[in-house]
Amino acid sequence: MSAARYLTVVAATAALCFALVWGWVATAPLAYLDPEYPAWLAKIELLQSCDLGEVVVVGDSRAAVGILPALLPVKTTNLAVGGGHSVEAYEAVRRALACPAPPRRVIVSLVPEHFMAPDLFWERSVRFGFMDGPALADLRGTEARLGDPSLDQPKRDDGLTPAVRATLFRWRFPTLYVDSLLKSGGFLRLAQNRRTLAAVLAARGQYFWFLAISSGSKYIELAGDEVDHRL
Amino acid sequence: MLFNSYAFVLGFLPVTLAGFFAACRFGRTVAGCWLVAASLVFYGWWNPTNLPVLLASVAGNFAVARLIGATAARPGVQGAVLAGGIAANLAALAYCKYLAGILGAFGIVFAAPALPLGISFFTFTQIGYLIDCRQGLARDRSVLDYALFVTFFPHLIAGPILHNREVMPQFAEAATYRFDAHNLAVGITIFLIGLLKKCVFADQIGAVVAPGFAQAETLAMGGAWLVALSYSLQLYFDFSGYSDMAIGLARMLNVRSPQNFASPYKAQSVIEYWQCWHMSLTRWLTLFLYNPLALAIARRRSGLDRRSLRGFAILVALPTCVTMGLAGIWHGCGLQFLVFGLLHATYLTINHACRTWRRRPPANTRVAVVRRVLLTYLAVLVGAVFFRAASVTQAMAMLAGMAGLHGAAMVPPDPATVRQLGWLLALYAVVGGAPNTQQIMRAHAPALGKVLPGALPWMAWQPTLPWAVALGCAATLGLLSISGTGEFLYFQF
Repeated sequence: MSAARYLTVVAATAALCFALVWGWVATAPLAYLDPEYPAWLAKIELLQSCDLGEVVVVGDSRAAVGILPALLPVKTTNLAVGGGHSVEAYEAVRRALACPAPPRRVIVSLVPEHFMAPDLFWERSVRFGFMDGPALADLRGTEARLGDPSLDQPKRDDGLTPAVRATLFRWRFPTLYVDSLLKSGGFLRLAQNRRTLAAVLAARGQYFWFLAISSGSKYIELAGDEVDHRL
Repeated sequence: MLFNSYAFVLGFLPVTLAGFFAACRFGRTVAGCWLVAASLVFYGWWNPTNLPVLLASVAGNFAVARLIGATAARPGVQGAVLAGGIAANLAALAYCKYLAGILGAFGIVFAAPALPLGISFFTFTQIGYLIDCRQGLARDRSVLDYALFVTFFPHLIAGPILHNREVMPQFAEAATYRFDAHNLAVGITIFLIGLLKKCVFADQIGAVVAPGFAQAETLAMGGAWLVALSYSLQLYFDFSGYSDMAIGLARMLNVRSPQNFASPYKAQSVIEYWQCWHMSLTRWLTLFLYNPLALAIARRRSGLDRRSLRGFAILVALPTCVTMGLAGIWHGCGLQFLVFGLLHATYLTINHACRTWRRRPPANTRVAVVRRVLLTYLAVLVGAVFFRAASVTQAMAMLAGMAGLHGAAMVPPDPATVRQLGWLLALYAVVGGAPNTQQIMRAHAPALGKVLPGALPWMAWQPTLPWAVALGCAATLGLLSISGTGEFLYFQF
């Protein structure tokens, strides 16, 4: 094979592989995303179904774990998420109130620090698709109006502007998911993530972290890094 | 700019290659100017304030080289010019790299400038050139040739440390300025292999290293070994990957670089290890430091027998310790680097002693070979702990952990640990069982210097369909992984 032809095949194979990976990343996030994802996906599905009941719970992981809708006397949906801040709480309430039969009460579980820099905004809210295109556009408009750059703090070293990063996440651009792909072997998390999704939906949003019941850790997976925070 | 960044791979590299081959149509000078300009952009991308340091260094050393040439008829003056040139280079290096650390040790606060990227590399390259000028081994070159030799972006920041005799003639050849699809194919292949090593192997295995060393005081035996072994593999694939990428990039531009890395963890002795690890630095140290030192000592003590204890100590151990001590310090300002250098000096001295007084040649049975490889690796691993640690105290804590002094507990069988162990096993299989890049590419003269055979026939690269498909897949994996990678470990030097 001539060198020119060899290079052409290399480029074509690379393009094809890239397209295949991109297709997989875009269509099968349950297969590879980290074990927190199915819990967030469950909240997204609950919100989309609008079957929320009388009460919704929003806020952080304490509420996500600690408030069990099954034990409450009225139909309740727990929309709190691990690492959730005021932004996610607001978005969940906004969508819940847009439902044909909106909830009558909202339980909010937040502490003052949740109104400061949202440290997992990109790694979870955007990466998991909780903040979708219109929500992000709305948020960025609010951010610009208030002159509040906290969503971009601390500065990330990926060299991307927030707008480009948001677009790449919306397209599920595969470079942003490589770490999860490698750690999951591409598909090895599918069965566990499906079980978690079913369990969280069955519990109307309440869930235990995958680590262990009453664990004091939270697991964050992001490009090139993995952090195990002690709370 | 990092080789493993989208800005480089998708922006700088295609533009530079296209611009270079377009400029070649207008002659060698235009093409050379283009390459120098591209190299300066490459260098200044990260921190433009470093550019004046590089430019001053190039201009200053070129002037000194010219002066050395002009004073050839007066050896005394020529020697003084050379000494002045070397002193100026070392002074600049010391000012940028060591002064703050040295003064800090005495409690004096000195706000040193940010360390210019790659200063150790381009300083050593140019000192070597000045010495060659004095010895008449470097021909009088134009300022463009010289600037190209020093700033050539594939090797500017972390080597290989080039020798003018092997690279400058290539810049003078007309063939260098013609598009060559074969060289491009070979270069891209080597580059992609390097990208895979860096972005997938080194960065994945290295995830535990920084937190591990930060907790060195408390790591029990299992954890300490896991971290130390992971680091040794991270360093291996990081530097090997970098070297491949640098060699591949140069080859895309029709330039063949010297080898820099040849399966050092397969070495059967520490002497052999240094012949395979950072080969261009070893060669530089041997040519410009060890040999002159050993020769000077031998001349002064001409009656000494190398096989006597005293003779061995003076003729072998002394120059080895001085050279390796300086090699250690070359890597950074910190006692741990000096310990690293002296530790290797000790290994090398013991190794030389064994060769000097050995009665029988070493056994060549498989068991004996494996034993020697493991012993060498263990010795190198201990050195690597000092090389990585932030201080001697931290290194000692890590070694204490490895010795079980913080408890003999093994690592917990959680998923992250199992994954790390899996990576370790897989990468050791690559290190021990796979041929290195030069061996894979051997039929296509991938680098300067002799490449030993090692690849099975089916693993030897040829521009064939299976290789093209495999490389295409590797390119995807490497490119995808770029987003999660960090800078090369050797960039700090």
